[in-house]
Amino acid sequence: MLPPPSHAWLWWIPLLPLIGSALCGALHLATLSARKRDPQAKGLAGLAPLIACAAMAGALALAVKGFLDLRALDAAARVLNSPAWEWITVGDPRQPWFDVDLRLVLDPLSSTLGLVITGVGLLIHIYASGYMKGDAGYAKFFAYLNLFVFAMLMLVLSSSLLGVFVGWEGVGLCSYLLIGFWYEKGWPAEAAQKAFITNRVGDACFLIGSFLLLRLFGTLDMHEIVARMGSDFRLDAIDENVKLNIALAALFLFGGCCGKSAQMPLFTWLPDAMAGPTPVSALIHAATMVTSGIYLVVRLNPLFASSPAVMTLISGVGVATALIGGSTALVQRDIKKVLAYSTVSQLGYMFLGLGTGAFGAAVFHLVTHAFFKALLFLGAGSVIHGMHEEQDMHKMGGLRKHMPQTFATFLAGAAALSGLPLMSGFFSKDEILAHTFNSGGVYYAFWIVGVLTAAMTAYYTWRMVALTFFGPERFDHHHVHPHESPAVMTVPLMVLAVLSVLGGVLGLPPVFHAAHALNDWLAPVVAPGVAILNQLHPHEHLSHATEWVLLGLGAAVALAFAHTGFRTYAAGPEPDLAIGRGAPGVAAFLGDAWSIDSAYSRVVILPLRVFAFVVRFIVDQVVIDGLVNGAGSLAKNLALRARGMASGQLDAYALWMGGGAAVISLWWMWS
Amino acid sequence: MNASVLKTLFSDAAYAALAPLFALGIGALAVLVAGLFPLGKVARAVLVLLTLLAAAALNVGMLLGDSVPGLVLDGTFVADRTTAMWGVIFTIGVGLAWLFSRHYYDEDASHQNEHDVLMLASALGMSLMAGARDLIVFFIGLELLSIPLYALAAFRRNRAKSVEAGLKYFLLGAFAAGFFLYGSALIYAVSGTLKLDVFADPASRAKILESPMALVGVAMLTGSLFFKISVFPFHLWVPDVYEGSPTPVTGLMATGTKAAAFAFLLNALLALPSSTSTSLAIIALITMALGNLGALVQQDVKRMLAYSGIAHAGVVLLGIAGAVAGDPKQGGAVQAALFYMAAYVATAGGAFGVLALLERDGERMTTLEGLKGLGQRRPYLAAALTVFMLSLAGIPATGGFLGKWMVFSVAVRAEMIPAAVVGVLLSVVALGYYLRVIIAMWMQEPGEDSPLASTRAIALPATLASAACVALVLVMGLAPRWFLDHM
Repeated sequence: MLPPPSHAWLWWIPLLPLIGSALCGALHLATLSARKRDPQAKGLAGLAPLIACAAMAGALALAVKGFLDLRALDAAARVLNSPAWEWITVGDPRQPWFDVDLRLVLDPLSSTLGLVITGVGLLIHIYASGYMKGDAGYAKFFAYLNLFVFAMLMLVLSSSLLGVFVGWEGVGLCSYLLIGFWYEKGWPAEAAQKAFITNRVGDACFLIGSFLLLRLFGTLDMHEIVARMGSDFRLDAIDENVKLNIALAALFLFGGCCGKSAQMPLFTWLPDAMAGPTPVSALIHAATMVTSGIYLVVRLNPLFASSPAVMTLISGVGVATALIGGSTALVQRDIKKVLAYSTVSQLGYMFLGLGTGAFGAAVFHLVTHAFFKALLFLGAGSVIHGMHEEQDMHKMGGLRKHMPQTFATFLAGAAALSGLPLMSGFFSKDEILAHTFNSGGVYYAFWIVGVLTAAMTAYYTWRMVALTFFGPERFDHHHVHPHESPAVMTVPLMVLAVLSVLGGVLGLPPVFHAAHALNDWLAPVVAPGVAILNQLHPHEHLSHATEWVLLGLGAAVALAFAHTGFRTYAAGPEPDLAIGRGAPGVAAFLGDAWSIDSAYSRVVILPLRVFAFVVRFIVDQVVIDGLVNGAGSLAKNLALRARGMASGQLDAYALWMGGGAAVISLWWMWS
Repeated sequence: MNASVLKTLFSDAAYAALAPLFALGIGALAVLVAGLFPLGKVARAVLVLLTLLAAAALNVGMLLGDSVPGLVLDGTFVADRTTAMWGVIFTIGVGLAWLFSRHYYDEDASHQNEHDVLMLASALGMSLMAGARDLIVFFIGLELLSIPLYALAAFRRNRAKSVEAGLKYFLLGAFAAGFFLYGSALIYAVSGTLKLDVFADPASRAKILESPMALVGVAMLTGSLFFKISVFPFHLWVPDVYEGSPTPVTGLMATGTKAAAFAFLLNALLALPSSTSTSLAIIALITMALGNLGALVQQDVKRMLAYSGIAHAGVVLLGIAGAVAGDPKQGGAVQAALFYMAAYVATAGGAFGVLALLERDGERMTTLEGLKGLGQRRPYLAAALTVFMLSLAGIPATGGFLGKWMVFSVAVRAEMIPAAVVGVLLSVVALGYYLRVIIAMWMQEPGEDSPLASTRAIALPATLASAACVALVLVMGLAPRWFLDHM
């Protein structure tokens, strides 16, 4: 159970960004009114990044303090609990039929996520102060960005599912606002709407899952739910019906994760979300928000672990998403689209890991991915910035000479993403694949697809590097003068590059005879789920020999395909054109993400449009009006018509009411 | 009638229970009489305000007090914390409609005094409905609410649409009142009483409901209430009447009237046999589906809100169905519905109010086309409308979210999971049309025929009312403790 609520300061972690957001919002309003008088006025918008970064730095400092406090405790006692904000209490206060206390709880899991959010978030804030300079909505941007961080921190720190949901919706809302930040262009507004609505489908699943948990456990507190999964809800203590309900709740919650973390079949919003400014893509659509689904599964790990079918489904969905994302990234021309599909694919890896019960490995990959994908996005942003808003890699080339710092840091990110030996991504991806291999059965097939996707990852990553930084310069020298970005943008890149290269030390594999720092750190959180999994189907640990073979295979695949990808495109984008000529069907199929989006257009959107048309013109105008009018003419013969009435429908309305009352009466008499 | 009967009828408790109603009644008469004297506009407005404040204060006093009067007047009227909370909600609803109606009327402004009297009288009717434990008392309340509303709907008597709305509302309302009386008569024929407490005792309740005649009577009563709360198939009048009525009056119909009918419906729950829960849930889902689909295709925001109001009534009805399925006393359906309606009154009241303000700038303003670029022209008004839309859509941190959450959890507790799942999915659909309003205001440039920037300042009463609504919506979302503790 939770320790006494003695850590009120935890509330300051999310509150600092919230205050920052309010201040930046006020600055934006002030700028707007100044601009009314003088259209050129800048107002005080320049202060916004200072405020926002200060808020982030404060939150980071507190997150570090929390981490140190936790470390000073015994492993089993590593939980800090804040006093509750008694949000909702309904009924008798001593025995409420429904109450929600919002409290923040810092444990190894939320501490890890909190450090990533505030740490990577601070770097991205600093970067954005350079990237967004001169934008009309400079202060507004930081207001949204800080608000996002607030919501994200609420998501990972709340102990109640309702608190998580508040954060869950909050990050969705901020993501919507930030994707549509440049709404004047038109398509960002559409992309924002698509993201929001797709996410809401997932959110509905999340809500239904929470309702089911509330009904089963009578509480929404996740720490209590996890504790009770180990006591009166032990698998051998509950009957089949309860098991089924638990599986159902897990399934619905996973549906929510599919929306937020862009998994099959709800992933199509993420590539479109690239319409937002690049720092947003780095923070929200790579490092933090899209990993909420992974966080939720790890947080409720015993719930998921006790339903093997759901676990297999999670792995299956994850690996399918990884394959689709990875193969689509192979042929994209837009540098941000490559990274977007790559993110979809890497998130798929994390879910693959979760489904095998490798909760620690999934979080490990989450952390390293946050480092290197944020770095790659920011690097791409630096390139786009230097190329005057050009995103098509076919029109780049040879940039290594013009942007040496961006180039060097981008290489580090690419090495980590493609899993080159000893880079952070190498260890985290390998750990997930090793767990998959060790799970046996259908997981062997998943493992093969995972390795195939790893090959694709290495290939498209180095294709991107070659097209962007090597080969002949393919841009118009008269209009485009590539230049290195200012230090405020390159310094965050360097910090992230160091983290991407060295992040692997957080979780060295057993064959290195070093402690797996992250797994040890997370052990108290994931222990309940791991215990259930061991009880359901005990596993041997992989022998060192097997592990060496797997490591070696991973390294070989990464090196070979990185080399091939780089060599193929080092001279320019001609191979792309050759594929387009040689196999236009394949190129179009891959370029369009296996045509899933257009399949939606046919299977979901088109029927919806037809349905809307039917409702509008046939049901509304023909059927309803017809019924109303028809009933009207029927009623005309039955009753005296009110004369001089502007509309003839009144008698029809009355007929419906009378008929309705009659039907209800009969229904109740028979039921 | 001898003295001792009179003594029990007019006890201290009875006076205490009726005090808020007295305040409203006396206030309404005072405002009416004041119209005869050459008093200034401000003096009359102060009188209305004092009346509403007095009623609200008396209700709040009952909420905070140690004891409540309970059943009075020979068991025909009840005054407890729940009715006091409803009373507060009604005064807020009427107060909002009244504040937004200031400066709304142009050619009819000379009759503002009668307008205000009618609004106060309708508040009196609502309070009577919420406290009624007897069918006749309820009927008096219903008529006291409805007749002023018929007149208010037709208040812009030079406009065909307004008159048409009033007439339609009157004719159909009279029809629904007929249902109510007929249903009461059937129940009286079986049970020999009009008091609701015959249903409180399970044995006598089961005996009464054995008779098909009583069931038909209950169904007729329910039908007439469904008319007021706009539930399928009694909802057809809503879009026409809402669109034609003056917008502040529409706000009152959407909020206060609906709340009053729900208040009684929750009391009358006792009379509904638990076998009716499935049919109630199905009606609720059909209502939600029709409301949401209807709202999706509207271009006029006022009509869109009318359909969305139908959908919201469906949500509360789903909670009621859940309560009927389980033990109605337990499970918190009353609190859930009360909270939902309180949040809805603040949200929809505010939304209709903002529309009323915009309408004064020209008729086209309430279409989606007219709202384009409102964020630039009137940022504060647009921000307020955004908060209301988010609350209607049920986004967290707003009162609308918590209300929805509570209602759906009542349904889930009653094991109505498929219904709850369909309900949650339907509320996802709703996001589509609320979002369109926000997008039009903030993300689209004014079209060619959008109204030009208005220089007209917004009057103080309306500013206060919209700010109060925003504050209420957010307070109910962030710190709902006070409301929940006092129910």
